Amino acid sequence: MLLFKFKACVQHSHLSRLLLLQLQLFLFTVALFLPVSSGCTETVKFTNDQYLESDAGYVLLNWNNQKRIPVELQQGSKHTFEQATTLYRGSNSSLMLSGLPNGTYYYRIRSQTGTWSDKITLNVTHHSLIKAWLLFVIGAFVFFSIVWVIIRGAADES
Amino acid sequence: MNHDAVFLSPALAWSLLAALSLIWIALGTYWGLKNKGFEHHALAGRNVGLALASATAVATWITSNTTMLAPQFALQMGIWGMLAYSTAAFGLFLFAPMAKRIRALMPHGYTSGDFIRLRYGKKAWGIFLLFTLFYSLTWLVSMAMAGGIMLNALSGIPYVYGMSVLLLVCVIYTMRGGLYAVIGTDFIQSLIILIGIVVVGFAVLNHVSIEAIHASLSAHKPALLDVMFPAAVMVVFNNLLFGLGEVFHNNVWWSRAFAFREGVGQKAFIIAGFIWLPIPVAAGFIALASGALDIAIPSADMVGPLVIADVLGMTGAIAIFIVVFCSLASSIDSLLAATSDLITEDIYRKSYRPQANAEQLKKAAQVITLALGLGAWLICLPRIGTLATVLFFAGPLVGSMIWPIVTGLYWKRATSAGAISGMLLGGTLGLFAYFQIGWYVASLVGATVSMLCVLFFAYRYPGNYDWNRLQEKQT
Repeated sequence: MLLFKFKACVQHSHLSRLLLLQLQLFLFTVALFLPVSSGCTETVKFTNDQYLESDAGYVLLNWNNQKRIPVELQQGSKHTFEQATTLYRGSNSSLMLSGLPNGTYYYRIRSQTGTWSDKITLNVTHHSLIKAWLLFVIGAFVFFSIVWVIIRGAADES
Repeated sequence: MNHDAVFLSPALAWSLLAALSLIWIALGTYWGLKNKGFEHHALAGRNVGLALASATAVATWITSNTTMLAPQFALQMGIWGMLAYSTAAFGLFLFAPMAKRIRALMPHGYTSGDFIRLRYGKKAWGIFLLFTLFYSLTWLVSMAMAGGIMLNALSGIPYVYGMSVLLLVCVIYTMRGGLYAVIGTDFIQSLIILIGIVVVGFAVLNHVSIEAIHASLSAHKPALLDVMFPAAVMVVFNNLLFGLGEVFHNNVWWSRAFAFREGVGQKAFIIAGFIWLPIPVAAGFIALASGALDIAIPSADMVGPLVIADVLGMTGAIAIFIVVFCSLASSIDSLLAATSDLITEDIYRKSYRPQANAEQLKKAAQVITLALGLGAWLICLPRIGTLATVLFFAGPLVGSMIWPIVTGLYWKRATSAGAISGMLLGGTLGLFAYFQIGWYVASLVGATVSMLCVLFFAYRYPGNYDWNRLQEKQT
């Protein structure tokens, strides 16, 4: 609208026409670059290693997001992200995941209007149950031995 | 720690911080008027009654770890993790009869270092001092650092300012009031913490049902409900033994055993255990509700504050700020007091100034408290975020001290060789397990190896200790 008013004011002179052309070109160029400078195509990347391992089913995913722009984080069970689920939408820069069963998980992230980042692969392989219960039994034995020493000692004392 | 979460305006947070600081310093100064010498400063005149005794035991054991790490345990290790954290209450239950025994065997004792020196000799004492000072200092530094980070995350107060104010306040009132101030402030702090956690627990229950929490966990975090979750199965007795090691060896607890009036210690620690037991369960429950409340957790140690702020809004944010400050202060003051007493008694008096009088010892304890605070402040300044993990290194060290302490108190046959080999081998192999398997087995391995060493020497080369040697009178 402003541009048309300006046109009306200066259309009488040749010089003015040249100026008008230059101004139109300038405004067109500025308009072309406006979306880029407003941050719409901001790229977001993970700061974790590309391949992660977990033997306890939890992991902390981190990404660069100092400008706190809205992001979307997806998890997939296939590297192609077919039937992927969105785990997080918001402007944080990390997400704690826990309670994951054995398996391979893939993650990718993007700003809400940007392109997807490179994927991260997480392999969850829990400790063996034999090792876990063996340590449980040893722990129980050590603990009840301590209790026995204290209770027996306190009884002797009294 | 993630810094996305800010719940309070810095202006409101500064006002709360200033009010709490002034209250603690004023009370510490007031209680400090009773201090007439080292015995009053370090052990509150050995005359603390049941109510104050129970409250100080509860408040000291509710550290920033209880309010922040218990939810983290639940979030990472599920139901098992929540229960595993609450087993730390057994440290208080089992220390109850030990406190009675300690008081009876050492009516004139000052520190846990006194016991090790008199029971096992100077070599064992040296190793013990090394282990316990490492543990105490890393605990102190990690809490001051956690305080700065947590106050920053909750309110945007710059890390250095928050950490400095927290340390400064604790140093001032501990220097002025000694154990009187520590126990008195602990009483008020424990009441604030308990009320805060009960209110938060009921508020969360009003917002989301148990069925909804269960459904959310089953769908998105199934391992947290799995009774066969291997890492969580391992963590149960590891955490239990870590807790026992912390309580059994550390002068924070021994100084209380000496300070409580005769006949009070046993009851006080049992009552404290029962009060403390449900707190990690309540804190863990809050974490498990995060999925059902649809709260994204940017880092494990922020789960508690995030859920509370979501459920209770501004009131919750103020409550969590006060609870965090109180839980940090109640542990930092105890550590400052107990560690400065340990250094004053075991190093300053025993090694440099055996003839120092009560007033000189009190002054020395105050200077050492200041030096500890300054040292912790300097270490905390660069904000090494990973230092909290150093505290876990102490797991095998404290685990390896359980058997030397327990058998040293009850068995005449326990020997120095058993105690020394137990601490050294247990600590070393526990650290090895820490790196080879994970932090969740380190204390267990340390305690097991130490037990084998102590039992081997006690039965193969039994001693015959004379208990009267523990009744050392100070000059």
